[in-house]
Amino acid sequence: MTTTIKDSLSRVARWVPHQGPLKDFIHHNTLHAFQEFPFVEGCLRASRLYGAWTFLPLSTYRDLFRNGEVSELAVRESVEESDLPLARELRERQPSDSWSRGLLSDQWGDYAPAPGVAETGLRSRWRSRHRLKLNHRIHPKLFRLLGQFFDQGIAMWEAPHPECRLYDFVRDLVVKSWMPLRPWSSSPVRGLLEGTPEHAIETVLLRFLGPNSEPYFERYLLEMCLAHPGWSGMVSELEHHPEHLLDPRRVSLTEVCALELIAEYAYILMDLGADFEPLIGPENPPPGPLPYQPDYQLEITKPEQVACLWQHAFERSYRLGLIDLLREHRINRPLFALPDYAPKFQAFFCIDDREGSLRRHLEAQDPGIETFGFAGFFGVDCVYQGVDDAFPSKQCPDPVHPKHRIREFRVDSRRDAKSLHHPEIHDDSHSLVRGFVISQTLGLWSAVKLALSIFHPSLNPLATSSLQKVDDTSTLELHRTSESEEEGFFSGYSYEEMADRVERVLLSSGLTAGPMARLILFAGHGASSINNPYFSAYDCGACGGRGGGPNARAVAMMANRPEVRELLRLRGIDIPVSTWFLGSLHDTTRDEMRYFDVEAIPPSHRELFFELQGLMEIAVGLNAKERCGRFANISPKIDPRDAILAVRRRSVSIFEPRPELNHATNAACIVGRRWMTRGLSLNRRCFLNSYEPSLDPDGTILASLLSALVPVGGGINLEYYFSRLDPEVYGAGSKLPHNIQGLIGVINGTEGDLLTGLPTQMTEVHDPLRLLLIVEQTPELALKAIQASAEVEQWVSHHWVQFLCWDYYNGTWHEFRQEGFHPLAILEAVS
Amino acid sequence: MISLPLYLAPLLCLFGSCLIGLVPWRDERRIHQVALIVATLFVALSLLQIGQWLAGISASVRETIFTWGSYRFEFTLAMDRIAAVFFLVTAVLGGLVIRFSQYYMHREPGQKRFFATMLIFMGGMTIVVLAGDIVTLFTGWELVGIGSFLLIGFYRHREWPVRNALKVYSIYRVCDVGLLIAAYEEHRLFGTGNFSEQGLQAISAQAVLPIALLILLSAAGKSGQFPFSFWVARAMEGPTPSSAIFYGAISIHVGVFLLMRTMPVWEVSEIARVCIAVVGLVTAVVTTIVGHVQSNIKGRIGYASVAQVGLMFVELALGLETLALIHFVGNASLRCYQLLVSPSVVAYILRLQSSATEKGRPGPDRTLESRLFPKLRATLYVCATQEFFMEFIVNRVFLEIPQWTARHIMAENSTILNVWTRSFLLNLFLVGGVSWAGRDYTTALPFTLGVGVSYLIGVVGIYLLPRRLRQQSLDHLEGLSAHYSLSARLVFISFLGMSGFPITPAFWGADMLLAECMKIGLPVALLFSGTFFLNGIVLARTFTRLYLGPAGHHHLSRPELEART
Ligand SMILES: [Zn+2]
Repeated sequence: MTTTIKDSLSRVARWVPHQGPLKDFIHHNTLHAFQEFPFVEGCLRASRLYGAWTFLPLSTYRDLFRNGEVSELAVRESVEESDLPLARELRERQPSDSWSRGLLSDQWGDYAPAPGVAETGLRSRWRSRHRLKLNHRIHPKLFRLLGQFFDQGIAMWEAPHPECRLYDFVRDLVVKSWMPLRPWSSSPVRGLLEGTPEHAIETVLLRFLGPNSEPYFERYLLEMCLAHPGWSGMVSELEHHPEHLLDPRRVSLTEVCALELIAEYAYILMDLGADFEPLIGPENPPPGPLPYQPDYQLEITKPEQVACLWQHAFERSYRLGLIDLLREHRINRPLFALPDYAPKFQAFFCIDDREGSLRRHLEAQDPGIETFGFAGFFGVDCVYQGVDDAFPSKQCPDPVHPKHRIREFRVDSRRDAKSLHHPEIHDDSHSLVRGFVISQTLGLWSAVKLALSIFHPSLNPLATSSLQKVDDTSTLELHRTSESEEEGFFSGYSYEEMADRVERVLLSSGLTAGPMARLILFAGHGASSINNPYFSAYDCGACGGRGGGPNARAVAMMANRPEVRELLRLRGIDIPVSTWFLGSLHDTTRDEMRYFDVEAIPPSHRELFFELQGLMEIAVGLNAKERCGRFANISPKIDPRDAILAVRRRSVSIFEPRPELNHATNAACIVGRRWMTRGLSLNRRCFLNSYEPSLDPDGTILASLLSALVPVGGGINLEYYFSRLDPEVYGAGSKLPHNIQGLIGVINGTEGDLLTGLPTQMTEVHDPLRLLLIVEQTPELALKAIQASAEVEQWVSHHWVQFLCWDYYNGTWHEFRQEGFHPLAILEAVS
Repeated sequence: MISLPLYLAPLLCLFGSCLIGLVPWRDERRIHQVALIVATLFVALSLLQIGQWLAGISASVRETIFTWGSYRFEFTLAMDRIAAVFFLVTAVLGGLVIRFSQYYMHREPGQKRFFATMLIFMGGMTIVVLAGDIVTLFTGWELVGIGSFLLIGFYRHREWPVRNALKVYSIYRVCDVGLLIAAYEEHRLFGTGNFSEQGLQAISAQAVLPIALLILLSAAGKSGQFPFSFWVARAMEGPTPSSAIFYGAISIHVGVFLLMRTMPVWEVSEIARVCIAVVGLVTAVVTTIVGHVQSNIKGRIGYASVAQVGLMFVELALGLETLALIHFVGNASLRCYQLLVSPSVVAYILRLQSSATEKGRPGPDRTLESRLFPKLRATLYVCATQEFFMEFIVNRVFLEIPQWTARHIMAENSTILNVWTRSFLLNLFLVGGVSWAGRDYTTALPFTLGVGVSYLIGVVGIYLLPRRLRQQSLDHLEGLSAHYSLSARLVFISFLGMSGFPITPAFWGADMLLAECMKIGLPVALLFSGTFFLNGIVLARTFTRLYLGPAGHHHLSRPELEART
């Protein structure tokens, strides 16, 4: 019996959001649990479970159509391909040119999501039958206890005995305190705390639901957890990954459920007396199946079908436009790849959608500049410990488990550590006496500070910036000298391992297909912001939500080692002696470029470096200007130099909730040779991954690319997608009232549930479009690469990403539909 | 040099607020322009007027708004040292926060409401600080209260902001009873409500004690002193700048201001001074302990601020007015800034924690508490977690009667029309009773007219709703304002009118009636004002329940509704 409660809860845990504490904010598919269903079906089932929007409101689609963002052709394709009853009806009854008019009309009514299971299910019977508002009474008390237990440094007074489990912590308070801890101290339920949490859950649920009601336990627990998805999700995440917290806590979802049930029991006894009717009985039939269960009858209402057709048309519109753009570019592309052509500079950037425009501007400076896209950790899977860090942190994509540690140490020890303190924020002002002294003395000074930070924003200790980690007086400890592991990590890499990593980057990006330039740059990226709890969502996703500087620096240092080059030569990759690799960091918020180890550049390459630096300055200016075009309060005609000042000012302004737009508007991912897209303005909407199809005869490189790219890119895309569709259920709502809870999450007010997903300020300009993955390869090899990983296959075959294959031999397009690639019909008809 | 009349500043804010009301909500740029121009002028005006006061050019105003029989309603504004300090801080911090919000609120739906309410608040606050007599002060006091209600419930489609707005409003209402009765008691005792004239009279300490205690009640309530402190944390529901200016900077110190302003009255009573000191000291100790266990940043700042306000109470009780003024300026600026930068705390503390030079968690104060022996420690922790049962106490002592009345007399769980009509009849009954007792029927006229018109507006608003919604019982939040905004606005205006909000006719009327009651005797006045304020709470509850909260599916037609169940 005890095991079944545990099993039930592990099943329940699947349906709560999986988001770790703020410091490790990692983008992921909000509806990851529904990926076993095809995309639309999964979204609809989720909407029934959570009470969320599945599509945009119909009026929004109509506006999009009127503004030309959804084309007539796309509507026709969407209706033609759909197997919804409504589409069938339209196809049978009306000619194809009146379909859009049919969808535009008001005859379908409007729609809004119905309330989710938490509000309408079994547990809501307390409210409908007995007028008991349990959530109102229990949530604030429960959240306060949880908040204090998990707190990572906001409260001045640590919870007593943080080393014991949550359940013991509460029991301890109840037993030891002379004053009651309401409602857990009330005498009828107090005894339940003595036993195990599983026992408490069983006892209370049996009393709530009546005899022989065990099959419905799981359902009640699910509804209870979904009434506060944020805390349930955090607890279940910390139960399995306690290492997310610097100050770990021991907890399980079982304990939280037990505490909540005991509290419910206490209130129910208080209000209804000991002989209340159970929720399931002769007059109260048990509830039907849950939306994710196979026997659930999923019905799609008419307005939802209309919205679904519109949504497909919306995606199709973007897709048609992008394909047109790429086809045209393939025909008209500038010829530059001459046989004896030698590139001047080559630069690696992250595949991130924000780097695309910088690459374009840089290449426009000189035809001899080539750029490549590779996931921003550049293959260096490590934990990294900077000179100022007390402990290492992970610097690689989430699914990768690093085995190596890179340490930064200071060559020149004269430099002092900067003071990090900020008296206004520091704890001192919160105690009574010190607060008295501070407000009498420093108080007025903070008004001056406030005025300064409003009228003249400047960098101060409150800001976070990836540039803070760039240090010219340090170097990296890269080469491993001993084989012993320290805290589970090797310190550094052997030459063999370094060569593996460098080889992977050079080979899969296709750099080795042509000649190498004398100076090759690796540009990691990070962000700067102030007053922004989501700061780690702005950094590089491929570096686990941190700035990519250390990785870029490390890969450049590896590639410069003669030992590594020797090993690579044996493997057939001949790096010329005259080639120098350089690491750097691009700050995407400030549009600022910093270079690592400039001192180490050989004198012969100095001139070249200065030239590159100059061109890069121009490129970041143009990039800043392009970005300014998207901010409503900056004129798009701004001069590049002013644009840089404007974006830098933004990054240090405490009143700016949008330091940059981050991944908003991301829509596609192009895996292929750069000349497919070189010179093409993609509006910062595409992830660009360099890939040379001719170097990959058996598809293994593509398979390994996809295995990271699909979950990471798709995760970013779908997190934006769902947070935009329903900012309150899937997203975190507006950022403006947010309050920081225990350094682990944000809440509204002081006793709200933890918020998951992205705030509206990050998603409001985003168009909810599934990621359109375009791969330059033959359909056979692309299919093979997809099928190489079960995870990727699920993403693609259930259409959580759209997959297009562009045959690099003959330029034909193929779409992934039902288990395989099919040529794109319309396009062939046109060409 | 011509001296500028003092009423320019509050008028400017209220005028600006109305002007924003006229701008279409989509026109963000225009809203910002108006707010910025008004705020800039306001700051300039405050500097100018304080300068004039320093230069010795008197600018005080005494206007008789209207007379009715023997009743004269006066509006008095005057500048002195306390007023100057509060005025300056309100103008400067208010101006800064409005400037801050222009960027911060960019694209936020509802920002028209936000800026309009901010200006109402600043106008109300200016009236409070410049008020020369207690009825004028009360006018501003109510404006500040309604501003709080609107900004806490800014996210009106969510459940908790709306519930908390209502909670805070109810506590404010309790304080209002205290202040209004104190006002009339003062009038009776001194023969004038004018602060400058009151100080000149010698009244026995025993006679002023009730007034002093009533003033203490309302000051404590508005400033979040024991046992009302818990609302400060609950009020942090609006956008951060509004929390910063209200609960960090200005509004939280309004109780301190009230005590300073009425110091000449209560100073003579030793008992009153002891009471004020005790309330302040208890608050300082209790909220410091409660603040120490807050694991969210806004709660922590809020309690720290309230603790300092408690110390200001103590300072005032000791007669250290100047110290309290300096303390106010420092605390207001510090907490305002702290709240505005509160989202930075994650990055800031995490950096300290992960910094090699800082070594681990940045000094949580573990020394004292962890040395206590386990039982005491657990007890203290349990009390702190539950805010020393303050909410429980306040609910029992102050809010149970309104809730009971709401349920049983006002039929709160029936339909909105029923509640509105009962409220109207209750008002009529009150008026009738008072006029009968006082044998003076003319004084009842303005009040009856004011309430009657408001009631009719409300009825029109209610009839704008579809029948099935109108007849729905009010047992949970319905969120109708999302789809029936005109109806919501009319009913809100009606609510203001019927609850005697200043600047509505019913307020002047109620004022006159209360003056009449005072002639009859304190118990009648207590009954009258008590019922009147209860009525306000019930109307607010009803309005909130029907119009605010998460929007349901009410805009759908019946077949659509049936289709989804
Ligand atoms: Zn990246």
